[in-house]
Amino acid sequence: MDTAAALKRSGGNLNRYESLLRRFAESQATAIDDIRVAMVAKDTSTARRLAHSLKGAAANLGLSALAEVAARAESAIESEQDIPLALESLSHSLDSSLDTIRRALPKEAAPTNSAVAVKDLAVATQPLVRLKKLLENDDGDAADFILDARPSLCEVLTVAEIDALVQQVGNFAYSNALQSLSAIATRLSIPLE
Amino acid sequence: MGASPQLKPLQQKLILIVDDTPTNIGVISGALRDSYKTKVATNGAKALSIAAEEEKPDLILLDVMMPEMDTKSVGG
Repeated sequence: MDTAAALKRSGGNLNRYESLLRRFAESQATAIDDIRVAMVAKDTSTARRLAHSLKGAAANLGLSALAEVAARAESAIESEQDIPLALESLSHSLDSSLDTIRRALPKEAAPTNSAVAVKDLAVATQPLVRLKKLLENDDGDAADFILDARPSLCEVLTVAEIDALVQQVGNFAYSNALQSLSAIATRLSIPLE
Repeated sequence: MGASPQLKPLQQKLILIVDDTPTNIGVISGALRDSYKTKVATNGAKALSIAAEEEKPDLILLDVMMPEMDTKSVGG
């Protein structure tokens, strides 16, 4: 794993790189199954695109061995040759990369509160308002902001709320994140304007 | 406030990054965020609506292989 080059590519920011690895591990966990399902459905363009995405994402994160195996799977799907073998290698390579990532990453801070303390609401309101603005503007900075704001958000949000929000923002699924924000605002009875 | 040229903040260029693979948006925007203002879109339709907003991107980085709306239909 070429972490140094990948870290540099993602702006030399360790938090950012860790977050990208986390989201990668979550989102690619079912990649091989998804490719196989597409192949069974004779949807080779989807299968190829999934292998292509995995290749690009792996290369960007410094997972060069995985990227190479994914590239071979992509060409196998394209040329319709030795597909089972290529997918088997890809499955092994992906499993081993995901295992390495999961073991290497520090545990994320999680909310310790069981119930929301009303006095702490103010701590989270400001970051939630700011986050909403960033998401509404499709601003790339939201991905950094959620990492920085996580400790304050942990004061008032539930584990499920934090996890969903961090995942959605980290995956740049901003419209989903805005829906989560609005549900959170309703639960806490705070206006986010 | 006086109109002192050296105190005027440099206008930050806006880059729109379009890719259906979140990792790629993350890496690309991560490399650019410290120097530029970035906007992100995970599909072509969203990219078009962002590009049509008042604040026009100075540069659009568009992935070549996306589902639903491909690059040609976004760029064309």
